[in-house]
Amino acid sequence: MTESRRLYLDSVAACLSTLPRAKREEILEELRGHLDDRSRTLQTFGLQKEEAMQEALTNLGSAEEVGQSLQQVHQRGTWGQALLAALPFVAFALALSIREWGAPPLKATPGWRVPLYYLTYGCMYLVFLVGLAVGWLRNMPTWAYPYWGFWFLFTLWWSGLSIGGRPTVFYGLRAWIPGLTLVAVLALISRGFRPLISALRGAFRDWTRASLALYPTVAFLCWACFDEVTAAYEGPSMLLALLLCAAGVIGFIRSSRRWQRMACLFGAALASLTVMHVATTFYWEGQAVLSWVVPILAAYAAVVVLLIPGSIGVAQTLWQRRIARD
Amino acid sequence: MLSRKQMRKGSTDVLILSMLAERHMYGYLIAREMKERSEGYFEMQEGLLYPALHRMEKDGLLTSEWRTVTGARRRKYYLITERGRKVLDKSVAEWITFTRTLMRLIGGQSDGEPQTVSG
Repeated sequence: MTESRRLYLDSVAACLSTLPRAKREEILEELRGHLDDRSRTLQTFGLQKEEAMQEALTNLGSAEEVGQSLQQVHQRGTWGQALLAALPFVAFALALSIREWGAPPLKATPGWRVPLYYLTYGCMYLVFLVGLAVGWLRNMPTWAYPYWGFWFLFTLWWSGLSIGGRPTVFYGLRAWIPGLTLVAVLALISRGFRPLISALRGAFRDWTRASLALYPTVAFLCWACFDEVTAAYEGPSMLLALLLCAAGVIGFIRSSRRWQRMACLFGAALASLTVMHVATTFYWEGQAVLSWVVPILAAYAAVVVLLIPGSIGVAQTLWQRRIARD
Repeated sequence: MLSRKQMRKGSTDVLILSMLAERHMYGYLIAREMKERSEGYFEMQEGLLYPALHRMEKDGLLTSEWRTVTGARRRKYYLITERGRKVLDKSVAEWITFTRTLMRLIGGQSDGEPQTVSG
């Protein structure tokens, strides 16, 4: 009785491998209880123990079907979680929009350019840090991954990483102080680095989370390419490109299947990079064209969204096969 | 032609909510009561009950709590929420309207027994 039930529940567990362990164990406990109750009832009708369990397993249905149905329910995030995941992209878009549109008188006023930079990007950075902290305290749910991606990217940028030019402000190693201090405080509160380890394990277990963590590079690339553009349509184009990224993330969180998640990220990345490309070609060449650069942008989106995270998925599969063989 | 399976498909959530509106239940009990009360008409694949329960819990129509049965053994009981009750009331009203309208269109009498349409 134990063996057939164990095999069944192992098959269900395999379908739930991308869920956190606690949730997975809870679901299995519930199914185990159902099988035991069903088996007990059947035994009162005269069936032997093993027969009753086999009948109970048959009544429960295909382990794969049950497991995949449960996985789809639990994989899909709520609207609240989707909006939380999109928030850093919106914060980035707002920071740029306010800087470009919201404060022209300030920009034109001598001595206000740098304070305006601090104000807008400072608020944006604060959003990243708050999201990072809340995500840590909630044991790194899926929506928290973009916050880590943005924090890491902007910290690299402000520490002096040059992508075709120096940032307006440049802090060197000091750029890491706010974020690392926050991580230290969070580690004290949670008495260890378990949320961070959980995040890394989560990305290994479900490589689509790694796609989500890397996704801010698409928004960053859009911003970097717009950097040289100084035209009236710069602001709206950047806003559109970044909001497309946000839409991709919302689609990702709200999707229950892996291919849907990847399609949302890849499609939105391609759309936002195309908007960026069209706007920049219009600026430099006087006409909006879709040139040979578009396939390169598509390749970049594929590398970020699919290839790098997908290699984690391949590594995970090989690791599981090795464990199964041993 | 609609099969029984197709017709039942849209009613699972309403059935679950209506049973939980009476009392708290765990998954196996819900499946058993559904089958017994319907005299076998609503006998669903039991494993697919749990995705429905978990989905409704995520949507805020149900809550759940683990209760110790004996020793270390636990059962997860489901409870309907206020939102679940509102959704249930609305769904039942829609089903009643749907059934009445359908029976009227196919020539049903007021007591629900269908007449033959052909002359």
